[in-house]
Amino acid sequence: MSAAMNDAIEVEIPPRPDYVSLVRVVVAAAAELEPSLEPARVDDLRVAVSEATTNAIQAHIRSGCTSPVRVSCHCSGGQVSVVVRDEGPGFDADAVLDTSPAESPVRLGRESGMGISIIRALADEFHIRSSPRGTEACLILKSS
Amino acid sequence: MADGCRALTLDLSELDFVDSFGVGAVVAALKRLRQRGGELALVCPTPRIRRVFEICDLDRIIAIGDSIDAVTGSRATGAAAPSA
Repeated sequence: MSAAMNDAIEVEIPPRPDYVSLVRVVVAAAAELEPSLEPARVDDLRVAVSEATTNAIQAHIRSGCTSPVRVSCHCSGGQVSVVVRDEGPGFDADAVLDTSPAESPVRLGRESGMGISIIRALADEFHIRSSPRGTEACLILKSS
Repeated sequence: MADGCRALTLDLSELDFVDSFGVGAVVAALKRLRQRGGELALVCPTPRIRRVFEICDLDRIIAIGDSIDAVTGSRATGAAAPSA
């Protein structure tokens, strides 16, 4: 792992699931330095960042990519923005949204794939830019 | 989960964090129980933990309550989601 600090905190992690908790801790610690961001919003940030980082790591694992996953975090003006970059094969973000009813057998059959929905629900802004060369997921959380 | 188990209550009172992996594990347990005619309930008094399950709509298909009494009571009456 490497980390550098200027305006932003940048973390590079090996594409391994056991590094997700490290990213969660680092980003939450940075967010707690932003005085106007309420603890509940930091809790939301922990979950959202965890989901985005997990998706990035899974993209590397599935494609056999050993390059690091990069996470940058910038806090200012009562908001935290986090960008998670991977070098996986990319995906169609709209296609992973499951709009089937919760009670449906299709929905109950899914034990994964809920990460994007969770991020969308928790973040104030969430943008994905994905191509065959990689994916950049940007999420922003603001004070209430 | 024992083969004969048909009603399972997971007490998440001490849980500090959950994400989609945790939700997926709960869904997997729910599927196994329903395949044998069983049911699952969650004791989840921590709002930020409960919120993740609610985002995934699990509160619409299983009982989630603040205490064991709340979820076992809703199971007896057939309610899906007891009020907090």
